[in-house]
Amino acid sequence: MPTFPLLDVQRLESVGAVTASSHGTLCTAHASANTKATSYTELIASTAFAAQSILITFENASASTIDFLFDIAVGASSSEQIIIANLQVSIPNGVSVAASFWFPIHIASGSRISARCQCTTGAATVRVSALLFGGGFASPERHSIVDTYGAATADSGGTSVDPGGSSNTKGSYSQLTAATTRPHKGLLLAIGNQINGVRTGCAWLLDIAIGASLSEQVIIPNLSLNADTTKDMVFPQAFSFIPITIPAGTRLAARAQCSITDATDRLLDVVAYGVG
Amino acid sequence: MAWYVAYDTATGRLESESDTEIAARTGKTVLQLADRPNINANGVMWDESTRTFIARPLKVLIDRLEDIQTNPNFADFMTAYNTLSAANKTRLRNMVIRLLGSRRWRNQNEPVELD
Repeated sequence: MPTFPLLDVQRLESVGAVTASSHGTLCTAHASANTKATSYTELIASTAFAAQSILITFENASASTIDFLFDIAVGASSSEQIIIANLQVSIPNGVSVAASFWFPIHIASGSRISARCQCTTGAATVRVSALLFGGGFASPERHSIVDTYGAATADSGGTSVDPGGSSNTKGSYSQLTAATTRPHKGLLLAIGNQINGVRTGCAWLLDIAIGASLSEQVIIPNLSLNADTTKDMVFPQAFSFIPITIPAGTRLAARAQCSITDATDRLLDVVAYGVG
Repeated sequence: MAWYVAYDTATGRLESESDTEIAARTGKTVLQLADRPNINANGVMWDESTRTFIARPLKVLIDRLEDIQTNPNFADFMTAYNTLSAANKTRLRNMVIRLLGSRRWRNQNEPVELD
C-alpha cells in the first residue's frame, strides 16, 4: 500500500555552523541594552536551493541569565529585509542549547541570510545556526510571512503572563495583539524567562485564546511548561509550528496556571509568531 | 495609551485586559487605566482585595555564603574556617564564590544543598 507523507524533505543545508569550533555563528548584541544591533551578522552568503522551512537554533555564549530578541533577515548587506522579527530567546546561565524554532516559510534559492539581536545586557553574545529544508514532491503548502505578536523591545522579552495568586487556577488573560495582521495557518510560541536567574521548581499550563476581552475562546489549551532550581529557566522555550487557522483581525491573548504562587517565579513571557 | 482591565465584581479576580474598551457585562467591573500595567517581575501585580494594581514584592534571595556561616549543618566547616587568618578567610571566601557561580543565590524555599 503506498504511503502519502505529509512532509517530504529532499534536501537540507546547514546555515551558520562554524565547523572549526563546533558552534554556531557568534552574534553580538548592541552595546546598549535593549537596542537592536546596527549591523547584521551573515549566516550564509547564498543558499543553494529554494527552502520550504528553516530550523533556527540558538546556543548560549554568555555566562549570565539574559533575554534576547532576534531579527532573521534575507538580502544583501545593508539591504536586509526582516523575515522573522523579534524572535525571543532566553539564555539561562550554564545551559548550552537554549532553543530551536522551526518556521515553515519559503526562502528563495541564492538568499543571503543574516541575523541581528538586542539583549538585556549590552554587547552580550549568542550563537546562531540553522538548517534549511528543501521540499520534495509532497511538500506541504508553503508560507511566506511571519508576524510577531507580543514582543517587548523595551526589555528584550515578551508579554508578561501572570497566573495570579491562586495556584493551579487559570489567571487573567494578557493581550498579545488586538488584531492579527493577516490570516495565519499556524502559530509558533516563544516562552521567555524574564531574566529570572533563580527560579523555584514549578509547572505551568498555558492557554492561547482568541476573541474580545471577557469573551476569549481558548484555541490552544494547556501547553505544559516547567522550571527547576538547577537550570533556573522556563522550559520548553519554544513551541514549534502549531497548525491552526486564525483569521486576520483576531485578538490573541494568553493566560496560564501555575503550581506555585510566588509573586516573581510564577511569571513568564509569551511571544506568538503567526505564519501566513 | 488607555488600557482596560476587567475583574469579577464579587471576587475581585482579574480576568482580562485590552487596549480597546471592554464591553460591560453583568458581574464584571471594567477599569480604565492611563497605560498598560507593567506586570513584569519589577512591575505591579493585581490585588484582588483592593481591586488595584500594587507593587510586586521584590524577590528575596538567600546568599549560600551566609548559609555556610549560619546553617548548623556546616558547623564543622565554620570551626575550621575560624582557625584561618583574615587573609586566608578572604582567599577561601573568594574561591567559594567562584565555585558556586550562579548557584550562589537561592530562593527562600530552595534547599541550601545544591541538587
